Amino acid sequence: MSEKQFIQLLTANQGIIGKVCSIYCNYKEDYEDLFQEITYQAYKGFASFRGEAKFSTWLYRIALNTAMSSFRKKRPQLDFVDNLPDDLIDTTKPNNDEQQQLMYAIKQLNETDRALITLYLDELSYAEIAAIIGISENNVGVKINRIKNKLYEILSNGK
Amino acid sequence: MENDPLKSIWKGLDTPQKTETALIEMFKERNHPVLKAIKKQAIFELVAFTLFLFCYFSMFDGMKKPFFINIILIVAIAVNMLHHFRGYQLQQKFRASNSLKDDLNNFAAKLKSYQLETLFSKIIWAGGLMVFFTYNIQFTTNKWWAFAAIVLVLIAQLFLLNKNWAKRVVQINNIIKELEVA
Repeated sequence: MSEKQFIQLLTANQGIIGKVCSIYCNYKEDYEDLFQEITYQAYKGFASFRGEAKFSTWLYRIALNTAMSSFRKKRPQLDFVDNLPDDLIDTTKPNNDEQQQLMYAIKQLNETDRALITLYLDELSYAEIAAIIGISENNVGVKINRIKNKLYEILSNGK
Repeated sequence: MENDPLKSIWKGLDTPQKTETALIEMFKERNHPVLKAIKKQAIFELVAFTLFLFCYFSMFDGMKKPFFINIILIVAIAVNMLHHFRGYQLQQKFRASNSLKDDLNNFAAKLKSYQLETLFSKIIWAGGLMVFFTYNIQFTTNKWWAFAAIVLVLIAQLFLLNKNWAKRVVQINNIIKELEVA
């Protein structure tokens, strides 16, 4: 893959990086730093991308790997609140309350559950999720069901 | 796959788009937040140690101390600088292999060895400085107490530093465990 092709693919798929940053960061500064780190890692590794998997799948793996292995500054834990403080992240653009609530519910999950549910919500198949994470398809199915139940529980408690 | 209401909500979620130029800027090492911080600290220490090495010979009696004591000091400083370079490499290297679980396993192993390297390099660095500065000193009771206080502070710093790195290793290992649990 040429650098030009990589830049085109990255530009088209940058929403993946944005979503991963949004679920792992609560503050704009952290979001931008993580976005930068993921983009840098993808650039360092694009030569190793042989097109055996979809570019989006490959990018998801890089993004999640970077997000989980980077150590962000300790910030106060977020809870459900009526009004958001001004310095909080405004990087996803929730068009309605439902989207905002879903985003906050996802952020209440642990790091691995956030990764799995993001892949699921982005319409990746269990086989693709299993390949990205490195666990069996069966395990993916069990985990996704458990996480969905947890999400519904958080959403219903938050209302 | 079934029609999931959560997916419908998620689908409408948008993230801000960056321009191609902004993305290309992010490929540069100098814009990487962690690499930038490591580089800044390494340059600061390099300048400070270079200045120190320029004047230690006369100001800190380097010329009056045996050759091997001078070598110990220089090795201690060099080990510390080399350690910064290793930290830079750890962050800079492309980390993806076959799957997220494999990537994190590899990273945990590298982080564990970096934790040990950090500990040893700091022990060598602190030990080297102490050997240099205490050589030829006539120890009185007060000087022994002062020396003991410095050693205690250094041990406390090493303990906290090691604890911090150990916490990071545990954090990654916990993520791996969470992935493995069905």
